Amino acid sequence: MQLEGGPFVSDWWIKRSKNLVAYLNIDAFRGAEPKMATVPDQGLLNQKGGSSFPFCAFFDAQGDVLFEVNPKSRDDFDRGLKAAQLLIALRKKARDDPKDLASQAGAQLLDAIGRRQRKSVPRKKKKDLAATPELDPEALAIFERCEFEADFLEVLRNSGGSDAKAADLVIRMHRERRLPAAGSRYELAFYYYCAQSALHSKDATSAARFLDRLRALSFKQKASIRREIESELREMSKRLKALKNPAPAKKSKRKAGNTLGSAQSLD
Amino acid sequence: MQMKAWILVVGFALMASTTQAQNRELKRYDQKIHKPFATAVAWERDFDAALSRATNNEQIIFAYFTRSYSP
Repeated sequence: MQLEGGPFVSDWWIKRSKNLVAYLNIDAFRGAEPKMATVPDQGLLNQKGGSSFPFCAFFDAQGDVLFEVNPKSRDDFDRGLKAAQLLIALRKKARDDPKDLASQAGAQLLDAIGRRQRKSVPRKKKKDLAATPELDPEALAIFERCEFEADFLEVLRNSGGSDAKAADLVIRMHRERRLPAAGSRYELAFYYYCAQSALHSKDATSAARFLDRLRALSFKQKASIRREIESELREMSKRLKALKNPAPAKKSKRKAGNTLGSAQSLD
Repeated sequence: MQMKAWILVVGFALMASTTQAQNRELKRYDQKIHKPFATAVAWERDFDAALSRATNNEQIIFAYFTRSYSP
């Protein structure tokens, strides 16, 4: 399995696991086969609201799920850990001061965001919670990041596999200042479509800006993706160059030839 | 009244197949807990023990749920 042969045997994980309690649950029975008394915690996944494997989540010391994560990337893991720690802190603040509505809302919002397999919370409810005055800025940032990612994925789905349509929808997001957070996994794709859109609409200034952004982001990618994006960058840079220095039109070339011809003939 | 012979045969066959299935699953479980990922760090495999450790050390639990019968 990807996790077991990857992140979970890395030095990164060995170091991270020292600051938390790592719990491993191995489900050892299938379908109607009986549970085995010698294997601990069989059926715990369902009790905790999980519905499929793998299921990864941060839990508090009372055994409640705080935040579900997809730990295939270290960033996702670290963001999930940060959100779980913030959720504990906000719950404590809300308990200590029942009038602290902002902390209550912040805790509810984080709980709603951290649901992947457990029963989800409607997006409208999350937006209402995020609009609570004096909401914790970190909780709001986590919400905005998730909202952007949901919007961006919707755009990709709605574009029906057409790059041109995706570019058109993504540049609208950019105009509305719905932007990826620094380090977002969608940052590269977002600015790729922005650059495509700017080139298509012959906006050389914006295209140059987006290509610079894309170039900077390409350095942060792993080698295989970097090679892909470098090839795209070369092609887009050529288009940008052509935009900045348009070749003389064929018609005017012919005119020049004619002029030359006339001059020669005059000579 | 004595149990019919065929019922005993079917009953024993069923018990044997259940035991075989359990043994197979236990073997898979045993293989899984000895994989490099499972031994790379000190995973708790008992949830109550994980809760106790989290309480005593004031730490968060990271839980990974997987299957013995997945690769």
